[in-house]
Amino acid sequence: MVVLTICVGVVLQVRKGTVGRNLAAMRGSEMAAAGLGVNPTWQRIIVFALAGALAGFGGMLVTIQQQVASPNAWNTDYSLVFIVLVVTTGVATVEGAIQAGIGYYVVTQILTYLPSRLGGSSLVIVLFAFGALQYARHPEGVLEFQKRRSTQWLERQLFNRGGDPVGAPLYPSGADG
Amino acid sequence: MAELPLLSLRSVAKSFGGVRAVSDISFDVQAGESVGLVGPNGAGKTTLFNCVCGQLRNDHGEILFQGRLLERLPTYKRARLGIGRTYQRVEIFTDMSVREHLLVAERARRGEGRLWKDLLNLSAPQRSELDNIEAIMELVGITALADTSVNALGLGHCRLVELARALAGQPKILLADEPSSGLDIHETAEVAKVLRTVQRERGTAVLLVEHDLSMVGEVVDRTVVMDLGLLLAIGTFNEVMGNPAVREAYLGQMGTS
Repeated sequence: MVVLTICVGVVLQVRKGTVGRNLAAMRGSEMAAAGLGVNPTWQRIIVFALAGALAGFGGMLVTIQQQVASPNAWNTDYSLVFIVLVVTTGVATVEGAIQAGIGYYVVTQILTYLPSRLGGSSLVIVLFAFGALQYARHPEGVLEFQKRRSTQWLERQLFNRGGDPVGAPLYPSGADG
Repeated sequence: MAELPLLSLRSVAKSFGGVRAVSDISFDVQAGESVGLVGPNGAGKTTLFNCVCGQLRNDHGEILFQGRLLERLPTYKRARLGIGRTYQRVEIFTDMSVREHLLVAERARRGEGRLWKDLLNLSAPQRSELDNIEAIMELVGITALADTSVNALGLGHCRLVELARALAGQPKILLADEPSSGLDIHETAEVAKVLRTVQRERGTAVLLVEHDLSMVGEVVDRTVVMDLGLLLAIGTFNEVMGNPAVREAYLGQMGTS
């Protein structure tokens, strides 16, 4: 929990700083961000270095816990599940990463103990396909989508009670939102 | 000795496959001058803008900014030299507030963005930065929207945010690409007023691509007319609008008869 708190603190600190704002700007429009003077290549190097450092830190903790460092402990199938979980829960959020970590533990436990006649570890492919479909529907992540939908609902309620409308939304909510 | 032009285009050309989008375009923009770049659809105006900003690389010719050749400079370095821009299709940063948009521009202008400063919480906005941002929001008339997310704004406000964001970078020249596109008559008048103020009070040169010719006539000192990638005419707004070749480009044969 201490390590998690430190990692979350670092990520949140970066997100609210200049680098975080530059990255958020690039997500909105890389062309416009570069047109203001943001160097997209350098920002990417920074974020990959930071992400690599955090992943390395996580790997170190896993190794300490398992007392062994083996490439077989993280095979490609399970790594794919982890990526899919992060992407489908909330690719741009800290909560998404935490929920994906918990989800990964739960999923791997289920797959480990699932009888082979029910699919066993081959269900990884099904989960991957399910995750890809969810990503296609909600590229921002399922949880982020739900959060946004709740906020929009709240805004509508406030507006109906005589709030101050700023203007028509530029980006309409999703078709099922 | 003649004053060095702020922006100088010398025989600039750009092709896409076999299509010559821009052919042999040459003109200068002086510091503090307002120049209109007009022409029918497909004239090559936005392509020329993209070449100046570095989003496209010109095939031939030279683009100089304050006498410096821009050829190999990437977009972000050109922006830091003082080339600001707005876009034909609004390019805003979703989920950010209006103030955050301007803060990105304010910091990017100086090339700031040190990770260690963020980690040590040393990158909080400074008083001077916030004052600059406030002044620009007031100039553009969007102070009331400062903390509003751009997701909640209509197109008219988004165009003003884009304009304010470009101005927050304190450009020496502002390239405004169809700033009135999609706006009503009142919003267009508001944008025209801001562009005039920026040019006259801040001394920022303006290169304006616009289809609304009445707005162009109101804002610019000189007008450059392009058609099918070629330079058709340069002069004052009234001069070029009286030019038969320009009338033909806009209205076809009818315009010259």
